[in-house]
Amino acid sequence: MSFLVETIVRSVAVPAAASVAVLLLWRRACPQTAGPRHAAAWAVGGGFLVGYLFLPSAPVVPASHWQWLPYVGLVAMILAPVGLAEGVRLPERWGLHLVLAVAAAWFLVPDWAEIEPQRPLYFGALAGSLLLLVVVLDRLSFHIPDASMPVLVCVTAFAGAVVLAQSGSMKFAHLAGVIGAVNLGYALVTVFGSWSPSFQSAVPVVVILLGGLMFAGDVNSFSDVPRASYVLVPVAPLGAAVCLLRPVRSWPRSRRIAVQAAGVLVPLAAGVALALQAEPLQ
Amino acid sequence: MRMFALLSLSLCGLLLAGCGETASPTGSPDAPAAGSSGNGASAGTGEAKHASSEPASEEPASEESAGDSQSVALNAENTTIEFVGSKPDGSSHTGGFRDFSGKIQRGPEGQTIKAVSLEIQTKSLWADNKKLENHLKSPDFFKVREHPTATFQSTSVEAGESGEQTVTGELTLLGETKEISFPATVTAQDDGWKLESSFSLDRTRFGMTFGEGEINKEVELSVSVDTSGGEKSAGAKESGSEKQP
Repeated sequence: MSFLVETIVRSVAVPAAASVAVLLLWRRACPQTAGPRHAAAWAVGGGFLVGYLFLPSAPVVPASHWQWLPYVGLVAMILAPVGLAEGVRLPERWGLHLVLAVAAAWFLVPDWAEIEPQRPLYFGALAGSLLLLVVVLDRLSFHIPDASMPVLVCVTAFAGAVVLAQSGSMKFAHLAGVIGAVNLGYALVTVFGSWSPSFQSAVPVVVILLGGLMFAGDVNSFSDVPRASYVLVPVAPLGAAVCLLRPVRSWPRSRRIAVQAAGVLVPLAAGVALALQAEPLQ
Repeated sequence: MRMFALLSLSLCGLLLAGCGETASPTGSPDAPAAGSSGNGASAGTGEAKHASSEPASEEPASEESAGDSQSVALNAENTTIEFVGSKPDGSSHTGGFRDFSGKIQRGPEGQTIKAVSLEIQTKSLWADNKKLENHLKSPDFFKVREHPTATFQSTSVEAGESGEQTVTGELTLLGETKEISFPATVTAQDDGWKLESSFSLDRTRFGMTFGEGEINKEVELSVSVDTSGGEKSAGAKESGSEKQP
């Protein structure tokens, strides 16, 4: 198998298949009760873990800060659906998101001597950013319950892969591709599988994984890719909120989806363009 | 009275003799020489062991070898460390390190290596392609942010044929410490001496496994030290004493 084909299989095909398999298992086991609440989170978190293990020489025991990604993703995968349980109020769910964001930042901010003086700042910034993204995207997913959100998250992750590749790490680009692939798997089941579990439970998992990965790419890079690129990628899905604006809400569905997509793709394109301008393709 | 004078003179003689010598252990230079520029020679990818490198780097150049050896500081002015990474299809890229420090201790005859130590700042890595340089510094290869230094500390040097010597020591790269051995040849120059070393290193031994199958795991390293134009003797400058030939 050529190196390129092998890379695509490892970073896209296998995680997407894992995501689909998890969803189908939940649909078979609990289609009406726990399934709709848990399935999306498990598909994304479980699919990412499979994709991470397919990374060549993937360390199971974390030795570097970014190697905690699959484990913080697993924690989010298990806890996120708890916030959607019946009887849990919105502030309580936000409290759960706060715990997840703080825990993720704790493990993902490196403890190198080089950044030690600024570590609290990095920690606060990452935890705060993750929390804000989770809270806003959670609400967005509630108001946009169709397959458009996972599709846009998939495109976002693949764009992140381009930025990370230009930043100098193919491992990180691979993992961003995995995040895109698991969301693609979810979107395929939603569109063609006649079952649409809520994407809301996947939001904390996606934000922590993609946001944490872009952070890792930024702090480890020696390239000229600007910080704006690393920030625009995880923030881009918030652009989908334009379709909830009063005038847009009354538009035909196709036009609404186009505006929603534009709201995400414009900041994404800006982030990728900045990265390619700083580090042109060779 | 005579006895007293004799004793006084003897005591003075002993004191003067003591001042003339610089006590320094032979066999292991203190501060690792950071300058290795080779491809990975010694700098390898690994993390620098602060335990071995810090004492060495903090020791003043005045570290003077004992009377039967000479100590020379290694730096980017007199040392180059370069590496060549290649693929199975034959294509290759060259790189090296620019910032390093260390020391070589040589024997009294000048062409015998007694000890080598080196500390490399992995951030100084360079490559013949800017994009490759960034990639090499990333977590895929050298993990420079996480492992800012790499060190080498010799443990033994064996003489071989035709003036070639085999240096054995511990290389610390990416947090892994492994024993390596490499050949080195010292030749005399008109106003100094020259050391040349070329060998290959298996990067995967140190956990640098990215691209296995696509990129050769053996990396060719070359180290050269050229003191022509003014040998830099750490001890001699500090203590003011001349290196013992």
